[in-house]
Amino acid sequence: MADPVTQPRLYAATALGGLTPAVDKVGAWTLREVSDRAIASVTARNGQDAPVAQAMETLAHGPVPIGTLRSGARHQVFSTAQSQWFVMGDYAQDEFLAQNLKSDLGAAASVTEQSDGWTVFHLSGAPLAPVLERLVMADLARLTTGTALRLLMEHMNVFVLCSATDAAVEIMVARSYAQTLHHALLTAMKSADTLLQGARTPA
Amino acid sequence: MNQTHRLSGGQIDRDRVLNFTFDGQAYKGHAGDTLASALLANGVRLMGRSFKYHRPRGVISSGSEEPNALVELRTGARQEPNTRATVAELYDGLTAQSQNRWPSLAFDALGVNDLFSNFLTAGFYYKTFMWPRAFWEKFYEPIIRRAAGLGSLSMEADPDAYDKGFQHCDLLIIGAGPAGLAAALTAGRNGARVVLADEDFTFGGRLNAEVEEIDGKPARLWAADTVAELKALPNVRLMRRTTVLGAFDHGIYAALERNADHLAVPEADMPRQTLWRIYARQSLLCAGATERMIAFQNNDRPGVMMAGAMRAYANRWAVTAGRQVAVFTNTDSGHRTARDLAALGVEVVGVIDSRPSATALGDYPIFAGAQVIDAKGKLGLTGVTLRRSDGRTQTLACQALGVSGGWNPNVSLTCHQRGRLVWNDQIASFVPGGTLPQGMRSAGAAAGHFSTAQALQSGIEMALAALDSLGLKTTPLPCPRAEDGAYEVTPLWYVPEGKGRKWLDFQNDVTVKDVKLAHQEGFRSVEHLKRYTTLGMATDQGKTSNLGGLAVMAEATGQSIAETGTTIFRPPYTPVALGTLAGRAAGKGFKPTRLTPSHHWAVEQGAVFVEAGLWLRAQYFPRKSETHWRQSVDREALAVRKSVGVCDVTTLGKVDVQGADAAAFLNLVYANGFAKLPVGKCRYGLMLREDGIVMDDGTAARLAEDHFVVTTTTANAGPVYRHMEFVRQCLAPEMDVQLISTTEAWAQFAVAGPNARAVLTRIVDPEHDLSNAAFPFMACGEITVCGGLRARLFRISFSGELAYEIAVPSRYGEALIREIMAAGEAFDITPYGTEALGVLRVEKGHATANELNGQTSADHLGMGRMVSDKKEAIGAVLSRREGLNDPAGLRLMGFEALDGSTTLPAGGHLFATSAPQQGVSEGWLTSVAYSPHLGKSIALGFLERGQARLGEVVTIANPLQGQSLTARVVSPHFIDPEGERLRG
Amino acid sequence: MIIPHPLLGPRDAQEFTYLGDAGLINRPYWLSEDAARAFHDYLYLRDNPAGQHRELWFHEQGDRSWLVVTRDTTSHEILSVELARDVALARRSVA
Repeated sequence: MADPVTQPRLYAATALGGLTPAVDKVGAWTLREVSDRAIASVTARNGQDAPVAQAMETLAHGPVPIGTLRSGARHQVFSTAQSQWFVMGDYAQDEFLAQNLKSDLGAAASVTEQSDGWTVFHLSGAPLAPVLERLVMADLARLTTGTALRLLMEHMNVFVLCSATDAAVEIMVARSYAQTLHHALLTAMKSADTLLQGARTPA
Repeated sequence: MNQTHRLSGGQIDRDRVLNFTFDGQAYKGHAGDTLASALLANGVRLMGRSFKYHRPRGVISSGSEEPNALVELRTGARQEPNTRATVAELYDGLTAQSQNRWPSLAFDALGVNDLFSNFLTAGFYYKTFMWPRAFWEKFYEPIIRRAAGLGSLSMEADPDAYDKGFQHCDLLIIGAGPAGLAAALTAGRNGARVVLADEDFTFGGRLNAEVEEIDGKPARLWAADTVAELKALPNVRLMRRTTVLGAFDHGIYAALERNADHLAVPEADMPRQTLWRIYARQSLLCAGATERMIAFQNNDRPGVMMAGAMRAYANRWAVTAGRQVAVFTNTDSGHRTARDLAALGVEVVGVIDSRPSATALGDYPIFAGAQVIDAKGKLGLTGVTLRRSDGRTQTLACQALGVSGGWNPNVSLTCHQRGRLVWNDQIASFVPGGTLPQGMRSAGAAAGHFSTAQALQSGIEMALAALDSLGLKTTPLPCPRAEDGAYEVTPLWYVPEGKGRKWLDFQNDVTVKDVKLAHQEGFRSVEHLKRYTTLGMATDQGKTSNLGGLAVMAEATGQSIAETGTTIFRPPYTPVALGTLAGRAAGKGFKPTRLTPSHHWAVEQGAVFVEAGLWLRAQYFPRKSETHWRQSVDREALAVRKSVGVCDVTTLGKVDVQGADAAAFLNLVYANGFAKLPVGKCRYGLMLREDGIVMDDGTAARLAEDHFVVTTTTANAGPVYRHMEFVRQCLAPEMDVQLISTTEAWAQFAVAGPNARAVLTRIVDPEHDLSNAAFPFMACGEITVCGGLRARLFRISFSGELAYEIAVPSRYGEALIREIMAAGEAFDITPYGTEALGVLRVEKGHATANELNGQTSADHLGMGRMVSDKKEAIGAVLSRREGLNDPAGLRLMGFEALDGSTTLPAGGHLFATSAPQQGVSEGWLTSVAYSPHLGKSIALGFLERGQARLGEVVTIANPLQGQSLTARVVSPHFIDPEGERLRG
Repeated sequence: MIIPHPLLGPRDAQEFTYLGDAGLINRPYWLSEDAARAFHDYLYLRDNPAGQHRELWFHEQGDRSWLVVTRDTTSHEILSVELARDVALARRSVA
C-alpha cells in the first residue's frame, strides 16, 4: 500500500480549467463539477470473472452486475460492460486507488488509473426528467437509483450514474470534453426551466 | 374596417383584442384566431398569388394542408417564408406579408404569366429554354431563378435556438380528435405510458369545428373535459402544437413541438422548437381526414374553399367567409356547412349537390343533380354559375363557395415504411393497407371511420388492442354517445363542362388539362405523372390534390384509381426548418471541442489555435513583435534544434494493453515484431490494414511483462481502437488481453532539443537516472516528478532531436508545463505548436497521415523490410502482393526547392522534366514545409523509382492553380540522416 | 434502428459503427498454400443479399463489444444479435 510521503509541488486544475470546481444553479437544479474523485478501471482477465466480480462485490457491499451502480463504505463501483468495472473513491483518501487495486487483484485483472480520464458532473434537483429528457436517449423510467449507463449524449460518450431516481445523477465524460458537456448541460437546464415557467402561465 | 365578418359564438377570446398587420394594413383579431381566421373576419379574401401563373388566391382550408395562403411571417432575422396563415396563431403585433407578387397582391405584374398559360403547361421547361445553349447559364437560368420560388429569406442569422429531446412510451397517439382522445383516455386509465400529440394548439380535432354533442354535451366541451382528465394522469403526456413528422424504423418517431412560434419573441433561453425522438412500443394514427375539392372552371377564385373549412371558420372562429355563401357538394358533409352557417344568420344562397337524389338538411335552397361550371370574380368571388338538373344554367351571387368532394383519410404515416394503401369504395378513398410500420394501428377518420361514434369506438378498440400487444391487462371503456350518421359520397372528381382551367394542385398550379396532357405525352404511371406535372410536389405535398390528379389519370388510362395507385409518402409530414433539424449543433456547437490539459496556459501565452479533428491545439505561439506566422514557426523550429522546446502531445491516442497475451496480441496487430520487446523499451510499430496498406503507425512502450502503452496518431485514435477491439474479440478471442483508452488520463508533453535532458533533470525526481546509459534512446519507465508525483517517461523523438515525452495525470498537466517552462528558462526553452512540429518531422522524414493516406504500402514508405514474414500479422499476407512491392513503384522521397524563394505546392504532381505533364503522373507531394534550417521549401512525396532518382530534378505540376515548377529529389531525411542527435 | 444488445437490451443504432459482413470473423490461415487467394476472397468477395444478412456492428458508444447482427436488409427487421466474441470462440471449437 503506497502512501504519499512527500507532497508534490504541482497544483491540480479542474477539468473546466479552474482551481476550484464550478457550481451552477438554474431553477430547481444544481450542476456541480466534481474534481476530487479517484477512478480506476478493473477488467477481469480470462477465466477470472468470478473472483474479480467477488472482489468488486466486497468493495461495493453487494453485487455489481452490468448496468449497476453500488456504493460501499469507501467506494462506489459500477459496470457497463461485461467483465469490466469502474471503481470510484475520494481522491484525497484514495489517490493511489489503481495501484492498490492492482496489488490486491494481482494477475486476476487489468487495472488502469482513470481518475484524470474523466470529468464528473453532479446534477441534482427534483424532478430531473425535464432536463434529462433533453439529453438522455435512454428510457428515463429505467434510470432509477443504482443504474449505470454508458451512451451517447450530444455527440459525446458519457457515463450516466443515477444516485437518486429523478433527483440526482452523475454524468461523466472524457476530460477534454468538459467545457462542451458543461455547456450542453447548462443549456438543457435553462431550456427546461423557461418552459416550466411558461407552462405556469399558459399562452 | 373592423372585423366585418365576425359572427357570434366561437372559441375566440373576445376580451383579448390583438393587433396585427398584413401587407402593411392594420387589423384587429382575438386570442384564439389564426392569421387566416382573423383576415377572413376582416373581410380579407385575397391572400396570395400562385406559384406559376400568379393567379390571385385565397385561403381554402383551416389546417396544415393549406396550399394557397402562404405568407412571410415577421420581419428581420426571424422572418420566415411559406408560413400557412391557417396554422399561424395570432399574437399581438404579428406582421405578415403576402408572397410571390410584385408590386402588390392586388396588382401583380407577373400575373402576365397567366396570359401565356398555353405555353406554360405541364413540363414546359422540358421543351423550352434549350436554345441557344449558351443562353441557359447567362440568361434563362437567372430569370427563372428570380421568378421561381415562393417566399424569401432574410439572409440574417437565425437568432433562435432549437432543442432536441427523447421520449419513451407504451403508446404514441397521433392526433387528438375524437378517436385520439378516446384512445388516450382508454390507455391512460389503464395505466399505460401515453404520449398524445396534436399539431393544433387546441385538442379536439374536428370536434372544435362541428356542432355536435357527445354524451349529451357540446362536443368541444367533452373534448375539454377529457383533456382535463388526461392532464391529471401522471402516465399521460399531452403535447399540443406538436406535429409527428415521420414514422421510422422500429417504432421510432420524429415529432416537432413548437414551443414559441405563437409568441412574438421567445423568452430568453427558451427554445423556439424542440425536435423529439419518440421511442414508441405501439402507436395509433388518429390523424383524421382532409377534405377534397371538386375541380371546375376557375375553382381557384379567392372565396372558393373547402366546405368543412367554411364551417370550421364559422363554428370555431366565429367568422363567415362571405355575406352570401353557397355550397357545392357530392356528399351530405357539404350540407352541414349550409345548415351551420344558416343557423348563425348567414345568407345561404344555395347548395349545389351533384347527386340527383340529394335532400336539404335545413331551410336553404337546394339544387340537386346540379354542378358548378364557373366561378366569377378575379380578385374575389362574386358569384357562381351552375348547370341545373333541368339543363339550364343559373348564376348565384355569393362571395364564398364551400366545396366538398368527399374526405380523404390522412394515411401518410402508415406508408413511411414502404406500406401500400387499399382502396375503399364506400368512401371512395384510400385507407391504410396491410403492412403498417412496426407497432402502428389506425383509428377514426384516418382509418376510414367517418362518424363521430365510429371514431370514438375505434379509438377505444385500437387502444385496447395496442395494450394487449404489450401484455398489459386492460379494462375497456364504455363508448360515449355521439352521432353515427352514414357517410355517402358519389364521386365527382371534376366537372367536365367548361373549356377554362380546372385547378387540382393549387400550390404548383396543376390543372385537369395538365394531367390529361401528361397522359397524352406518355407519362401515365403515377410516378411519372407526379414528376412531369409537379402535382403534389409543393410544400403541401398534394394533401388536397393528389387524389384528384390520380382520378383524372385513371379516367384517361381506363384503369381504376386503385389500380393507378399512389406515390410514396415520405417524412416530413409538414415542412420543418433546417434549424430545427440542426438543434444545438449549429455554429460553434456543430461538434464538441476537446481541450488539452495545457489549453488555458496556451491561451495565456497568446497561442493561435488550430482544429485537429475535435481537438483545439496550439498551432504556434506568436511573440508580440511577430506579424506573420512564418516568423513564429521558423523561430520555434530553430529553437528546438538549437536548444530545447516543449509541445503538448496529449492528443495522440493512447491505448493501455494488458494481459498475459499482451505481447502476442501486439505481435499480431503490428507488422513488425513485438513479442521480444524488453520491459522498459519502446518500439516503433507499423500497423497494416488486412489488404496490406498501412493503416497507422505509433509506438508501443512495454512498462511490464504484461503491460504496454500503445500510441496512435491523433486522427486515427478512434479507428485504431476499434480495429484493435475487432482483432481482440473477433479474430483472437482466445487471447488473454484487455484494452482500454487512456488518451485522456495522462497529460503528455514532448521536450525536445539538445538541452532536453538538462531541463528534465530539474523536473524528474533525483532518484531516476536520466543519463544516456541509464535511459537510452527508446527507453520508457514509470517515474516520479516534482517531489513525488507519479509520471511516465518515454524517450522517443518525432523531431529527430534528443527528445522525451513526459506524462502526468491530466489534472497536473497545466502545472507541469509551467514547471517545464520555469526549468527551461535558463535554456531559453520555447513552446512550439503543431506547425513547428510539422516542420521538424518533415525535416526528419517522419510519415504522418498525409503519407499514410490509405493508398500507400510499407514498401512505398521504404519500410518494406519491417513487415515480418516469420509471423502472423494483420495485413502481412496481402502486403506481399506484387502490386504493392513493385521495384518500379512509388517510394517516399524528399524534395527540395532549387532556391530559397520558391514554395513547393503540397499535392503537386511529379513528372520527369522530359515527360509531358498529362495523364497519370509519376507521383505527388504529400507534405510541404519551409525549413529554416535549410533556408528553403522542402517536401516529402511519393515518386516512382524514387530511390534510383536521387539528385534528379523533377517537374511539379499544379495545373489547378496554373503552376509548374521544379525540385530536386533527395533523401527524405533532411536533417541528421544517421540519427546521431537522437541517441546522445 | 434499434439493436437489441444481448447484455444491455435495446439500444439506438446511433451508438454503433457498422463494419460489414460477419464473414470477416473467418480469417484465413496465413500459412496455408493458397493464403493469398484465400485472403483476397476473404476481403473482396461478398454476397449482397436482399434479405437476411449477418453483419458486424461495434457498440462504440456503449460497451465496446462487437456484435453479430442478423438483419433483413429489405425491412431492417433484426432477427438475432450475438456477441461476436462468442461467435468467434464457437468457430474455434468447431475448427
